[in-house]
Amino acid sequence: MGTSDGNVVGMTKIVDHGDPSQRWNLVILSEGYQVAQLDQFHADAQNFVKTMYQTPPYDEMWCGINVYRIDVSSTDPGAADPVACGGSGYAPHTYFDATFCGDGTIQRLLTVNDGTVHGVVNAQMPQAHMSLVIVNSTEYGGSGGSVATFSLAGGADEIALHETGHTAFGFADEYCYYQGCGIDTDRNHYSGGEPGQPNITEDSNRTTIKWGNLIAAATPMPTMANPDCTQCNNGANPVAADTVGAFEGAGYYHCGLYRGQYACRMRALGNPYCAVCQQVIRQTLAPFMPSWVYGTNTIGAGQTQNWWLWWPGYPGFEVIGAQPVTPGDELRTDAPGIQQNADGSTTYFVSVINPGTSDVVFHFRGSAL
Amino acid sequence: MAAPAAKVPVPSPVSRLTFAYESDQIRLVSEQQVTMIIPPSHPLDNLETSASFSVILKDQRGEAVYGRVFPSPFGFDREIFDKDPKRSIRREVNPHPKGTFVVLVPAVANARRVEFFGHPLKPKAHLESPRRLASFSLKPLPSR
Repeated sequence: MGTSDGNVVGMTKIVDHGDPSQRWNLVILSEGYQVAQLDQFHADAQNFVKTMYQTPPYDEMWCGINVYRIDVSSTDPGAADPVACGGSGYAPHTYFDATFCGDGTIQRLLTVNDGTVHGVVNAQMPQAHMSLVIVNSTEYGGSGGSVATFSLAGGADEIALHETGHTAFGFADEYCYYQGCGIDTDRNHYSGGEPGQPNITEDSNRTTIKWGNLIAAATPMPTMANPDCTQCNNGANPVAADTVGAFEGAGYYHCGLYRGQYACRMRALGNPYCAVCQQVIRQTLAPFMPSWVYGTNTIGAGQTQNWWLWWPGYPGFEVIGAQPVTPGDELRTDAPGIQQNADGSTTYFVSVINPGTSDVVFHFRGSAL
Repeated sequence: MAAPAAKVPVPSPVSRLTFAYESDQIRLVSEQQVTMIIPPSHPLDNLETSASFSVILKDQRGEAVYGRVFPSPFGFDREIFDKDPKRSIRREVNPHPKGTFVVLVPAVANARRVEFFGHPLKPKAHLESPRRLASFSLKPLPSR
C-alpha cells in the first residue's frame, strides 16, 4: 500500500503567470489513475482549473495564480470502497491510499494519506500555497483539512472550492449547526469571544463589525436575527440577495455569531463566495498580482481622478477596488475607458469620482504601469 | 494619473514547516527554506487568546514577530459533504484524529520558536478557553 503502489511521474505548470516565488501557487495531484489514465487526469485537472477561473473572485485575480499539475500514477484505478459503509469492498492499490468511508462510518468521506501528499508536494513544489487531490472515481465524495480531496462526481469540485476557502483564506464555516439542524443540543448560543476568522463575528455593530466597509447605510443591523436560538434559522432572506450585513447563525451556532450575507459557499455548497469572503480572497491574493499595487489615497470634494491600468489578457473588467475607508462615504467609479496601444496591449483607465462635499479617503488596488 | 504611496511585496525567505499529529501529540517533521510570498501577519495583539487556531512565530525574547489565524488543522472533527443542497455540509467528531499539515512562516534570523494556540486538542473543546497547544524550536537559519 502507499508509495509502493505507484510513482510520481512528474510536474507540469498548467497555468503560468510567472515566477512561482511571486505568485500564489496551487498544486493539483492525481490519485487512483493508472499510467494509461493520466491523460484523463490532465483533462480532469483542466476542468477544475476552468471551474476555478469561472469562480469569482478568482477570475479577476487570475494573473496572480499559478497552477501546477503533479502526475502520480497508481497500480490500480479508483479508491477503496469499504463494505463497512455499504460499499463494494473494492480495495485498490493506490499511491495516496484514497478511500471512501474514511472514518469507517460515512461513505462519502473520501480521504487520502495527507502525509504522503505533503511529502510529494514538499519535494516537487515547495512554494505551494494549497494542494488539491483529484480522485479517479465517479462516486460523490471528498474531504477537507490540510489537503482538499474530491472525486469526479458532478458537484464534487464544490468541495474543493469550499475547502480552499478554509485552507488558503482562513474562512470559518458559516453554517449554524454542527451535526445538523434539530440534532445538536449544545449549539444554541455562542459565548466564546470574537472569532479570529474574517467571515464570522459576534459583533453586529455597523461601526465596528469586520466587514463594515461593505454594509450600506440603509441596511438594518443585525440584518437577520434568529428568533428561536434552540433552532437553526431557516427563514427567508429579509433583504435583497446581495445585501451585506449581519445575519445571525454561523460558526456552528444558532445564535450569537453572524455571517455577512444570507448565502455563501462557506455556508452551503453551490453558492458563490459571499462578498465578505470575496473581499478577503482579493486582499489575500493582491500581493501576488503582477505589478499589483495597493494602498490608500484621498480624493477631494467634487474631484475626479483617472486611474490607468494595464491588465494583460484580462477578458473583462473589474474596476480598481476604490473602497471608502469610512462606511457611508460616497465614491463613484465610471465605466472604464479603453485604449489599444501600438504594441498590441490594452490600457484601461477608470475614473474615480467624489460627488460629495468633503474629502474621501479610500483603499485602492490595481495593476498599474 | 494618481500617484499614491504603493506597497509592492517582494519574495522573501520562508520556512515551510511540516507537522504530523496523532490525537494531541504533535511533532515537527521537516523544515524547508524557500523563497516566496506569504500573506502578511495578522495583528498580533490578542492573537494568543483569539477564539480560533493561530500560529505565532516568536523571537529569542519570546516576542511575537508573525502570526496568522487559521481554521484548526487538527482533525478532531471532519467536514462531511452531501449532494443534497439542503444539508450539503455538516460536521462529525473524528474518533481517531491523525494527519499532517504545513505551515508557512517568514524565515527571519531572530525567529526561534513557532507556537500553536487554540482550543484544547480533544473533541468538542469549543467551549474551553484558547491556550498554547504546542511550541517548537526552529533550526537556526543557514548563513546567507
